[in-house]
Amino acid sequence: MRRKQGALVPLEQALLAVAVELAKAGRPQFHGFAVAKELMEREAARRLTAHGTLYKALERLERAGLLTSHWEDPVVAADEGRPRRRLYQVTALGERALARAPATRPGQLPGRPRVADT
Amino acid sequence: MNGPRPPLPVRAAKGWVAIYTRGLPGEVRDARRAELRSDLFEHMRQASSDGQGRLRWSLQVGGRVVRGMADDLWWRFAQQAAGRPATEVAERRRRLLAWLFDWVVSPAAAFGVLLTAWFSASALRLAGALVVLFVVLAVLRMRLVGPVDNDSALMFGVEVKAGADPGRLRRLWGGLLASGLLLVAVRAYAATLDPLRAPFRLVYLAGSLASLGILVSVLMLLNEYVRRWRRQRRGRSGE
Repeated sequence: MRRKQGALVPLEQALLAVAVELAKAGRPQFHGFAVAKELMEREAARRLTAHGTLYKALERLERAGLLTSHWEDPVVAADEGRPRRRLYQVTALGERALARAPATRPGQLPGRPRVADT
Repeated sequence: MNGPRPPLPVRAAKGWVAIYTRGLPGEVRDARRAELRSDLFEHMRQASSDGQGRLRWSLQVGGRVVRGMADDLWWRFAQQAAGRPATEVAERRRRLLAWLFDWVVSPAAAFGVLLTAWFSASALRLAGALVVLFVVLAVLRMRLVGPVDNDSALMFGVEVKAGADPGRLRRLWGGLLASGLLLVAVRAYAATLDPLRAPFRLVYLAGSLASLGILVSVLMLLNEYVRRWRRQRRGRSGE
């Protein structure tokens, strides 16, 4: 089934919600695994989001202007002895999109707001 | 730098990302590979700090790879399509649809209809089923795909505008020959079905149709590779 242009799927809406929560908690920037882990805890799910599903959704949100991303400084990563992280951050447009989205119950992925409405 | 060998799920995940990003533009490919590398590292570190067992962690990573495969492939197709003009993408999609219709849908449908008609046995019914099938397939293809001037022959030579074009006539004869061969195959196949009881017959039929579809697809894929190889060779010798 082809999805309408500008429509958010529940996973994308949930990712935005986690991004906003992280920002409110003083962690505005997050990497892919961190958001997958937060999402699993928030939704009380048993499994982490699959790689392909997660990164496709993040990319789509970025293309829609709801998230931005950049690669962290390689020196920081090297100092901590780990690979470089791609850091995402929710934009003002993303926050507005989420604010207009229908409320959801805990443990349930949200419904489908329209990006075009933002 | 040679560190300790990474665990199997990590190697599998890296192998898979290497496969589906192969041939993509360097920047896109490297970004996806680096992002996955980082994800795997963070996952492994988290599991270690949670005191999670190796087996459980391995299953988690393996599950994340397998469950995301379809999305990985869709992402790849989208990346490939992004580098091409929209008209080219649409034309490729149309050709793919035509190919699927000609070489998978039509043969499978023909086989099923003919087989059913064969069991109800009168020659008139068989001829009627064939005529109906010809018309339905021709109309469906024209409606769904439109006229696609590609090299794939239409099954049964059903071509609404066959005309006097020698290429088209050749395809028509090829199609008629294929129809004849198919009829012979159906007759032989029907004979093998007779001794089977009804429930087994259905399973046998379904399995055979699936096998036929796969076989035709593989043959056509091979054919496509041979054609490309010949084209490349002609191109090289022409330089």
